[in-house]
Amino acid sequence: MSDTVFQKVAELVAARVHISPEQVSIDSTFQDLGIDSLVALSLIYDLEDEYQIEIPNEEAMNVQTVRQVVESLGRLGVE
Amino acid sequence: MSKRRVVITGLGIISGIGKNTGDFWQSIVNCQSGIAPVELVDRSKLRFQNACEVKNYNPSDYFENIDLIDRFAQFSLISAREAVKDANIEWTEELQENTCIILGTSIGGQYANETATNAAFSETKSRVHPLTVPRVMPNSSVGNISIKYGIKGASYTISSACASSNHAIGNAFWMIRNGVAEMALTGGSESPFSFAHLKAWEAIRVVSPDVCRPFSKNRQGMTLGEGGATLVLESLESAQKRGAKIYGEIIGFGMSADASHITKPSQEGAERAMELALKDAEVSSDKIDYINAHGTGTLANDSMETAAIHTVFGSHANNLAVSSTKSMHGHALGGTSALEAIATILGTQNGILPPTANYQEKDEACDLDVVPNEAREKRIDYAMSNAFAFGGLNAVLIFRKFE
Repeated sequence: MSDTVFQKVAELVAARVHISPEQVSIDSTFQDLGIDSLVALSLIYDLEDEYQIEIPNEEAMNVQTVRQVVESLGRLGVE
Repeated sequence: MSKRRVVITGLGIISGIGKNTGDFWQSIVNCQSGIAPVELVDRSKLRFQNACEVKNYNPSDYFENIDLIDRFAQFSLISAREAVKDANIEWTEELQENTCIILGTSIGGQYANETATNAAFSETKSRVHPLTVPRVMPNSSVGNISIKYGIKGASYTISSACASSNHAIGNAFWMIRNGVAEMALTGGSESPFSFAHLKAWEAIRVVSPDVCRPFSKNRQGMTLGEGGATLVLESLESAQKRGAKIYGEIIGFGMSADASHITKPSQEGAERAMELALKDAEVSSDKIDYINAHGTGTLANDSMETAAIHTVFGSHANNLAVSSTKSMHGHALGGTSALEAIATILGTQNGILPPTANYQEKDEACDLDVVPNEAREKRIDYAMSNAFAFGGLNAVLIFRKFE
């Protein structure tokens, strides 16, 4: 799992929920972070922008933790 | 079923002539128009140059997060906040369940729509923001207010172009009068200043190249405006029980459809809406002291509306005052009649006839006392507010001074 990708995901998550990136850990859940379904959609939109990729629904709908986001990005070739 | 009396106990507004009720009313009393060169889009690409925008508006002065709230819905939330505070409402679970929210808007979230459309058709970016749907939907103002105050009663949005807010207020009035709801937040909002939407108004050729001059012989059309206004309505019994201050009473609501032309107004349709409002109010036409006219400043509307008033009021048309406050706050489409309701209510409460600004030249086809260019002191016991929309959909309200 890429630490660089985790750092970037932490930054984007933090910006979306107005906290500092240090407060985001690899094991944080969306629920812990206050990310509801609409915020999650916005985060996925941010990630598509950041990595210039298209995240398919089956990946987008199944992520509930930061770890799952980083793993999903890995499956899409982001390292 | 006995009819309950319905009173107005809270007002809130944001407009091009004042970002709260006090400032809005001062502008009306001073006949101060907010019409000025367009700043929200590049006006060099427009044939018309003027509008009545909410100037120096910064959403962060009002909201921590506007991810889900387009400009028109922001205006509704801001005016609702003022109205709820003004009415000094103490929310209980029972009241939240028995309060309704009925608001008008014609076009909803135009900015989100335009941004999404641009993105979708862009050669480099064919996807749109995931929050576009909740931003665009015309009922987002009602939904957001419901969430903010925990209001759980019957709530919905009415879209009938330029009559939307009168239809909304009238429906809320009837719901309280008939005991379906205890309290209502009602009114409406609009912000039509997205570039493509302005081009659509330009193309239909009803916008004045200078300013809106209702009833004036040299009038050349309407001037677009924006804003939001919210009224708190409740039964007289409820207001008195909680010791609320009362601005006035709503006593009549009439609606009609022209069934003739999609944009050209019908005199017969306007007459029927006014007559039905009088019948609903159970007052004779000679009781009305003031009419806040639809008064768009177009050639077609103002002469049609004058003729309709002559027919409905007979010789009394020469005794009553008729003005168009659109000459000051602009035509805020689906929100406009909510702004006009507040001008009418405050005129009635304060004994001041709101003026028609920018008036220059008498038109024989508009031979009413249009209160030109200066507000006037006069006791107003009964006032009417007209809205005649594209689509041929008409909605008229009648207010009574509360003593």
